[in-house]
Amino acid sequence: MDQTKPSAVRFFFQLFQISATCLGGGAVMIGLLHGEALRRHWAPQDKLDDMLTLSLSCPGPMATAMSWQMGYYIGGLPFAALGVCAVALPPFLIFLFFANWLFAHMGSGLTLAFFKGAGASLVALMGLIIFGLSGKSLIGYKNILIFAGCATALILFKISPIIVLILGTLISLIFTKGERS
Amino acid sequence: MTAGLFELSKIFFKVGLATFGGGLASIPFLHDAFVVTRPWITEGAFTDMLSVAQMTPGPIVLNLTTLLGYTYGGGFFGALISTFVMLLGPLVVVTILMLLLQKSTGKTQQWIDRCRFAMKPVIAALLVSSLWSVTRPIVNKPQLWPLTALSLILLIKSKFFKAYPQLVMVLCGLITLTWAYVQHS
Repeated sequence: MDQTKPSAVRFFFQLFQISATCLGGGAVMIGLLHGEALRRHWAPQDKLDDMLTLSLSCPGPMATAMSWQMGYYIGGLPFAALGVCAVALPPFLIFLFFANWLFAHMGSGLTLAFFKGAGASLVALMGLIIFGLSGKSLIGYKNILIFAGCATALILFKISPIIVLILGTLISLIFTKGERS
Repeated sequence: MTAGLFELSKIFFKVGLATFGGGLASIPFLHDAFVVTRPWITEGAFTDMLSVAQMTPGPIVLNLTTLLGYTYGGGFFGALISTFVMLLGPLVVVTILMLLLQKSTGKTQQWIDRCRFAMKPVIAALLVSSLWSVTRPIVNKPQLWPLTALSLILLIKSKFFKAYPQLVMVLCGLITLTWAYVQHS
């Protein structure tokens, strides 16, 4: 598939729009950024998958890590900086203009009602994104076992993600030694 | 009250590097810095900020940083500097790793490929655990499940919603909002 380089304005606007409308935090946003870049042919799938892996395995907000890498891939440091600004600007503007309103209305019944519905929908959106991103990485019983072990450690035993990431990868390396994708 | 910008910067620099695996991981750290160690903010006010940060669009850490920087750093510049400092450390780490991945050759490249392959199921588990954190609040609310089902159908079947998936969330939010309004009045 042909790759297209977006103009700086288009790149900024597209990322800004995702950040400004994405409820639910970083994990959803990196999925949306991944999907958007793929849909618009900004980068090939394997590169985007790598960016996603790195975003998840680095400290700090995942969304800015993802937009930084996407920008860097598309147009070097200027685009990378643009990508981070596009993602960081919406919260800025929201709090600058609506901080008082938000504090006054956040606890009200109607606002909570809105977020209940949005939250129910978020599960579907995030589920689909995650299924699309990692469905393929769960082929073979070894991968499924490692996945199940890590998920249990994270969800049931509440072990810190960084420990799971390091130990999980080590165990996976030993398990899959010599095998390649 | 207003904190010194330098002190705020120190806190947010640490928060940036200490946050691992999603915004929720930064909360205990920020709670310790703003509520426990320094008497800047009460438990209740912190909880309010947390819900605002979770409910507004954007990454939760970024929202919290902007909000706390704005409130305790004296407005616009406080927010700007806090956000910049918080992002600095992580972006340096990402850039170093990204360049290492690009520049590596031969044996190193082989090992990186092997690690990349080995990490796949682990990354999937990290993603599923963040999915669980948003699923947990609705597990005990079966009245919300139809909305999850509706969203699934719209996201799979509708071209429009596939292109603008966030709108499905807004739609479902409006449905529950209308429902609450009708019941109320």
